[in-house]
Amino acid sequence: MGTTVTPNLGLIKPDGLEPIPNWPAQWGSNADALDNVLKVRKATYTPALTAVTTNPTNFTASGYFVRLWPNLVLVWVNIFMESGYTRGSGNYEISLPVALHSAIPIVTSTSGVAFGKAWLFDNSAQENSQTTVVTAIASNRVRLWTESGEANFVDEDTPFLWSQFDRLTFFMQYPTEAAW
Amino acid sequence: MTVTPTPNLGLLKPDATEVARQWSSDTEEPPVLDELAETNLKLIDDFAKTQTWFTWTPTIEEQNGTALNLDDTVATGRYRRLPGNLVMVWGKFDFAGSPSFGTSSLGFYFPLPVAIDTAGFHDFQGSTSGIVMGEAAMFGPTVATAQTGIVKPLEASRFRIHTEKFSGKTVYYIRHNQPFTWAAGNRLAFRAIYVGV
Repeated sequence: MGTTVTPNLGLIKPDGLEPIPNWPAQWGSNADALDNVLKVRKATYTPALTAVTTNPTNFTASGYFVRLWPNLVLVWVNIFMESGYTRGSGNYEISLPVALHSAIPIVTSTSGVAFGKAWLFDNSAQENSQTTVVTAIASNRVRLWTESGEANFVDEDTPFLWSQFDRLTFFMQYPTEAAW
Repeated sequence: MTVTPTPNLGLLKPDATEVARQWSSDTEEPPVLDELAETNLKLIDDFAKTQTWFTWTPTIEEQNGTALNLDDTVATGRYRRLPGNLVMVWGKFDFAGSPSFGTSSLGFYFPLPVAIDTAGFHDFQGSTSGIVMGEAAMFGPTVATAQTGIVKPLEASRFRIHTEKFSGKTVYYIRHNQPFTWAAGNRLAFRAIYVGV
């Protein structure tokens, strides 16, 4: 009796109704394939907040991510500027837990996509943020693109002068290069 | 019979050598295979049922849990369960009739269809916490009053919406008179993604 391999998950299916002697081995293969696709992974990570010229210091960063299927992750990030925060200088960048898929364009003057949403809080002014989205600056780092009269990346003084007790939080979903 | 469970879903894999031996001594299909198939299909089915779309009717509450009387408002909601207890939620209000929006300055509280997993990463609105998990759009009486917002959890079962500052707009968490005085004809839509219980 012949078998056919399904196009997406690679499951082995018999072509007819008669029992197939090697069914146990084939079912073993199928079980492994299903298990690998459907498994769930959740993990925490510590996002690195850096700036292009001088890195900020004295903040607490936490991140959490969930694997959904082999090549998709959902990520939540929270960064709190602690007492004595130094804002550094240059565009802010935040590390990713899993590398982006190469099909996600790196942001330039003519390209870039938004795959997440951020909220920025200016504690001294007690004000919420501009509209801010997440975009890629490298396969393992993102920048935040904010509306501030015109589109700018978040940096040490955009959209406000970052200081202690300010907050930055975002969530995003993106395809990953590696299946994990 | 020797079986090996897969590491994540626990699917049972039969020992091929043993099955072959049984098969050679029995003209019928070994019964154990039926049992394995049943167990495994049930595991897969149990898993797959979480993929179903559900509908629910969004509501708005005051801080004390009293639901606002939204009169003829059409409230529609959909949510979907995904692996890892992930929950994706969409909701929309088309305010109609003579809806009451209360007078509370504490803002609108929106119940979630599935509670947030408080043992997980999501934390709640506080001076140093409260991770954004969604976004919202508000349509007021004029185009100029349209506003975007973000969804932040307040409690395991409720969230609040903060407006965003853009084009000179001021920021608030939305309530009866913010970002505009809510009335019939206005609309509110939101989505959120979080880890549920």
